[in-house]
Amino acid sequence: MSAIATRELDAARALHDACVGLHDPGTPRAWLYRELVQNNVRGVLRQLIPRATALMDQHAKGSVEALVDDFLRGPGMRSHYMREIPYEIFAWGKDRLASDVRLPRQTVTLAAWELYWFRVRIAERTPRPEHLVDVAPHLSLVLESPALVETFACAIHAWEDDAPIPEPAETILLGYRDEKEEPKLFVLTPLAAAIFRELQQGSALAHAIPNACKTLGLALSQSVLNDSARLLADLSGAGIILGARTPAAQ
Amino acid sequence: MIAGVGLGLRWEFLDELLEEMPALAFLEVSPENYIGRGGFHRERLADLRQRYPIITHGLTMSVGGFDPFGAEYMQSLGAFAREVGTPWHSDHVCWSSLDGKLLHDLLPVAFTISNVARIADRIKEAQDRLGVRMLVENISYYMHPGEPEMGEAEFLSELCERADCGLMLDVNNAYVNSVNFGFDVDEWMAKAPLERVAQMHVAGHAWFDDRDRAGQRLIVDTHGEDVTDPVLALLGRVLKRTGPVPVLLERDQNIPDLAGLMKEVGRIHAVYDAAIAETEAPQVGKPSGPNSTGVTP
Repeated sequence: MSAIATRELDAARALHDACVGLHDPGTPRAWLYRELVQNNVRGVLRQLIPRATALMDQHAKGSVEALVDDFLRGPGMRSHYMREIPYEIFAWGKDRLASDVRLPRQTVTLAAWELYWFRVRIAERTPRPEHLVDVAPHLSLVLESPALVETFACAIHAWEDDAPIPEPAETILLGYRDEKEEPKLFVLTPLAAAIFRELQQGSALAHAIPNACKTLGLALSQSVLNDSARLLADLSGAGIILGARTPAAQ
Repeated sequence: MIAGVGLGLRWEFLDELLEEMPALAFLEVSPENYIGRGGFHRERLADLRQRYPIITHGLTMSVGGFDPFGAEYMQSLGAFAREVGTPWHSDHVCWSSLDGKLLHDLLPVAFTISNVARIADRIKEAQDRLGVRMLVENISYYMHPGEPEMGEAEFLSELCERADCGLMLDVNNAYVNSVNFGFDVDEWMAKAPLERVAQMHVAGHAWFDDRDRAGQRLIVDTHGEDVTDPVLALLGRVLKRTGPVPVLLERDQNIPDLAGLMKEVGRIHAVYDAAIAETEAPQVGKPSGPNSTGVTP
């Protein structure tokens, strides 16, 4: 790199460092750039996780701003897509939020839930195979997408603002969108979640149920088969099971 | 050919837009808001494409940056541009990432000879990789990094010439800079490469205290107010020289309802129509009919 380009790069680096608060170069109006950057990031964080940031504001004033500032000074933003930045901040800062004694214990779960729900709303659909056949035990199923399974520490999806914070109780959710792009939820049992994950990975129906039982250490009982039948009926009714792959496509 | 006044698509008025489908010459969208995204808004964009021409305007290419362009980003951007059939893709003469970290803001580049060459090469690379013509936009800047070797207008002229790209002239940005740095905006326009203008932006701005100069104020390009009269007047003077290029209203904050936005579009239309009637440029592509939206209501 030429000396001139190095000079320009150094100038850019100084402004970058001012923007993320690493140092104040004393450059006129660097403060304005810093505020523009900070406000953008704080804004998108509050937009995507409004309830979690409201809790932070309520119980630990200034913690949203501090989280963003430390994130910018640390790992910084990597995505071209602003909507991904709250995920980057959360991945980096969730342990810090979890250990902040000022915050209600479910703040992290709430933030995770809000980010998950946003993902359900906007995740891209994968193209459907051109040819589908009727569901049969030896065939892999074709499932609607997105269909996102995630485990939460409590029934956070049912928590309303003025209600007591839910008690810890592992809750597995399956989020998907209907044909009108409306996001919808199922609450899954551990068995249902294990079967669904098997199906998502391409296991034929005949293998998905025993594999799920093996994963959970369950016997393949009549009760399991009844629960499996109910799951498949629910998934079909919701339009999540689209059909099965043709034998040639297995 | 697109001519007339368009609107930057924002989700705040998406439902109203879909319901009313008002006469607009085009919609401008930021690909970063759609790439990798499904769901309601992405589906509605497909609906709007049936009604309006779509022009893409990017936010994070970091045209003037030092990092190489991201392969995934450029590939996705090119695919999006092809999907919506944009006639060109614009982004800003700025940098917004360094050492792989993005700032999601428009940081100023130095107006230097070496930057002309360096950034022109990046614009040419972007055009090649995207497969569509690039327009570069003059930004509002609040400080200059280091000592400039030329003025911004000359810099843009050299840059567009060397990259053989178009200019997205942001009239409000030129006005904001002229006030903040105390120069004559018409002299600036006289030096800017107006013959390369393929599209223009107008927007509102707001005044703030300048903490570096006690008692002084500066304008920030907030896109949160109505377009001011001096900016509209400047738009009219420039349109007389460029002829009928598409003009976009940008509104990103304090967004009114669609009726309020269309009222603002109407103000711009009045200026547009009056200027085009007196244009010094060839009238090629000037739309006919009772309005100049370029789209049948």
